[in-house]
Amino acid sequence: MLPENLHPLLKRQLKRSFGEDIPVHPGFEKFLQGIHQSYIHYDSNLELIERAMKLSGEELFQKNALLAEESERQAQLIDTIKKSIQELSPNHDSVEEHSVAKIIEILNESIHERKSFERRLEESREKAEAALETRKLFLANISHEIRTPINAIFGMSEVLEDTPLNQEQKDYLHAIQSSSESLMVIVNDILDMAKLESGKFQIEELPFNLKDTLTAIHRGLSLRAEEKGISFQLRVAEAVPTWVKGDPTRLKQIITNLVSNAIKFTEEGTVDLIVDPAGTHSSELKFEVRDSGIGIEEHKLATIFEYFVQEDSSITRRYGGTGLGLAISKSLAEQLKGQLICESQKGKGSTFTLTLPLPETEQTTREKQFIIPSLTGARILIVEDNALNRFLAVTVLSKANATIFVAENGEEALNILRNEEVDVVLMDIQMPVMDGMKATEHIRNTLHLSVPILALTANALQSEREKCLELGMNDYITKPYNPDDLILKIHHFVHTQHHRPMSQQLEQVNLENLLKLISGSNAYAKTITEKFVHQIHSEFDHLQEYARSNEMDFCEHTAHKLIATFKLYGLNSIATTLEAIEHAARSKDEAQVLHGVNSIYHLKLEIIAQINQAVDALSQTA
Amino acid sequence: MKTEQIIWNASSGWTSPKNPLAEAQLVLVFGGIDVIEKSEHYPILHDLFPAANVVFISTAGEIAGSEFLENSLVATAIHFEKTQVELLHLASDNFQSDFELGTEIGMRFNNTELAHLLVFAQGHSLNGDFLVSGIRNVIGNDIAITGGLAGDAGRFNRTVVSLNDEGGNSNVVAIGLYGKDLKIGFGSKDGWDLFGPIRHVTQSENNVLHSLDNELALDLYKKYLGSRAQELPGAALLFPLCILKEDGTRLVRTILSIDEEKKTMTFAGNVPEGARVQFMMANFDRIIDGAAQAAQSAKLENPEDSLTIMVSCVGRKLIMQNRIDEEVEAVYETFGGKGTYCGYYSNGEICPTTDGFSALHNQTMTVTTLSE
Repeated sequence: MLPENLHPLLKRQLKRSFGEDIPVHPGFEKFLQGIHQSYIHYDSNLELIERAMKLSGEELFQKNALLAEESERQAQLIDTIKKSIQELSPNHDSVEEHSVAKIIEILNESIHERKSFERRLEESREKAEAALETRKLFLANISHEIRTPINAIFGMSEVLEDTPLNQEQKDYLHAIQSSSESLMVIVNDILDMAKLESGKFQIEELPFNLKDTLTAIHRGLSLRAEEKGISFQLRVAEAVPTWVKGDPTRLKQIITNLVSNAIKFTEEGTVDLIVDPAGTHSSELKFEVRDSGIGIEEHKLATIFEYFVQEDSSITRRYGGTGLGLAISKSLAEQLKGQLICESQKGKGSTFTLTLPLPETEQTTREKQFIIPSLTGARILIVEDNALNRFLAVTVLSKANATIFVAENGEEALNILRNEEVDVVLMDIQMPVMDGMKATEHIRNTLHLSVPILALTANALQSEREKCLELGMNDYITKPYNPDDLILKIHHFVHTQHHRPMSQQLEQVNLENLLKLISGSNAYAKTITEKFVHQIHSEFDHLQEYARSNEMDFCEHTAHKLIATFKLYGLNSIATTLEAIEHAARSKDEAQVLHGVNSIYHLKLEIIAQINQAVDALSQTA
Repeated sequence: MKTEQIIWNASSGWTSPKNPLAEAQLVLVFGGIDVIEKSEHYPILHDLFPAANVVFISTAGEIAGSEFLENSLVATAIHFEKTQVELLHLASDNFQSDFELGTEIGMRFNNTELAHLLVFAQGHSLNGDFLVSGIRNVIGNDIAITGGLAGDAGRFNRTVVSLNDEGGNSNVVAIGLYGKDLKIGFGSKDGWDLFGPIRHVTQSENNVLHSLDNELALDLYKKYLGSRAQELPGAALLFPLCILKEDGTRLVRTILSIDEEKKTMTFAGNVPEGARVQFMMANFDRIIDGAAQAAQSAKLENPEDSLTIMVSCVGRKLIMQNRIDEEVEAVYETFGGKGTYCGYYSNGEICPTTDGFSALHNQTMTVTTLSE
């Protein structure tokens, strides 16, 4: 009998082969079960596979539909791009149907063209900027060069003024002086502009007497107003403080410019300078310059603060000027964290209002004394290649009764210094044969002289000043200089020197104090001396470094530390100098500190040698 | 190499050994999870093979000769005459990760003389993938690692790997075989059929699969299983996932559990993101043929005194049911019946893939042949 549950296909095949008479055999039953199970299993697998095929088919269909949709979108996108490209470069042949490669090619071409265009544009911009820069630099250089001869003209006219002159000559001289003054204003304007534009402008912040400054401006410009027959009045509100903190030079420059303009453009009527606090609670002050002059048309107001712009080019012809003054003034006002504005009506006059933060401050004790001292007996070496400048310096200093030595370059200066003792050297920087820097190095390192050296620099650049001081110069003065300033500065050094000899002679080392301190132990004296020598060695270097970098607190501290050491070895003059350095450092007198340090620094090795020698002698006698 | 095999069952106890093998260094005992932990086994085996370390491994069915057994113990004693044997017994619970565990094993056997490494590990809470990569990370890919995870009659609950009378169940035993005289053959084959499209794993975390081609993996599975999805999770064993590697080799991953709430599936091995996978289904005749092919790969030239260790997957047994002995026979016949045969049904097989890198497998017959 066939088993009931056999797979139908297997059953049919069995029936076809055996009919109802299935062979009876124990192995045959197992055989049938194996095949039956495989049949069932294959059926089940087939069902799974068919289902998987159906589902995969559906998935494929859906993915195809998605792809078709996506492809349609892409085609539309490409059409849009094609249209854009044709708009971008109409001369291109129409893009082939859906040819992305072609589109990319065209895009790349456009990108390339555009980049090369941008590059050319950038190149021209750079060229233009470079040209402009060159022009500015040229202007600045020329102006700079012009300053030297003007300076000479100024100086010489002053010298000339002191000689007997008849009225006609006096008039000519005044004409020369006023022309060179105008020239100086122009030159300074150009230099200021260059500095402002390059961001090299340095703003000072120091206490100054505002009322004195304003009075001086008023006094200086009243004459010009009087000459034109207009009244110029200064009105300072009571609430305005006398002593303020700020940059007096720049304030003076701005106000002078505004008032000069007002006087220049006013034919009749008044010019007033009115100073008020800008508000009740702020430290800002308001400086108004009002005139009843020609005024400015409303539409021109916006541009008057731009460089090289005057209200009308005819104005330049009529009134002169560079057209830089207002631009510089505005720029300066902004650098000083203030502002400058203008209100005006054509024909009725103008009001320029400068607002600046000028906080009230205490009166400084360092108010300048304008008594010009005499340099009688002082021996001064002038090192200067320019004959006019040399002559000017000689004239100015001779008038102060100084004894003058003259050198045309560094080498000549060194020759003179080998033979003559001088109190101060005035050193130009740019010179043929041997420049001032080189000469200073030689004076300090070859001749080992600590004579004060005063640099005469045309460039008031911070970096150059620093270099001068680094090389061992004691101070600098910027050309063109005010003769009084020069005399004051030289006097300061001569004066200091008279109280404290510059080239200190080293006195004999005296070990008495030391031995007393350590109860006469020679061996210990030697040990302790090693330590001190080491200290002197490094602390001298530190002191010089601190003095050069204006670190007054460190200078004070280091000088103080060393004083006791030198007293111990009986080197009292060095100790006294160190005391002076300590004192000067405490009152932040940087120049004085540097000067003091320079006067002893070169003695370092000699001091050490002497101390060592004395201590060695001690151990030998012991 | 000499071997001696004895078998235990509940009704007749241990068979008697034909030849005493007092010098045997190693006894591998494959036994049913419910009978392997009986305390009387070790003293008997220790008496018979006093020099040997006895390794107990729980199973989902044992293999002795060409026979498939259940709830029995198959103890095979091996005396290596020329090969050095070194055994390492570690508790997996003592390690932060299974990779670290593998690294520790690798460090112990990192020796140029090492010829082969047999590894048996508990199969209920251990990631065999990380264990094998940890070992390979140290010893490299030149030395083959074979063996498997212990089984527990398809319950996936508690398995046993223990050494001598030391007890415990969360253990790993690694057996290093040293020397030039050892001949080793191995092979692994599944024999399952692929169906449905190839897909990418888009989200997974170690052995937990979230999505395929950005669709929830569990939903896809159910869709393709149709009416048979109702048999889940029980039927999960019948439908593993195949990882198709770039070089054409494949790794089978059995579904251990499914989470209807999170729509995730947990596999008996890692399913890395980015892998290409395809669904699989059983095919009786190919499964049996697969076993024969695995044996063919493992066949040595002169297998007279050889030991053949079969590690087959519990999943194959659950599918083949009463035809399971056919695959054991297929292996036995491939070797012509010579030598000694032992083995068991496991929760995971360890063997190099055809590219030579040892790995954890599911659903395969894995054959290791040793001879001196």
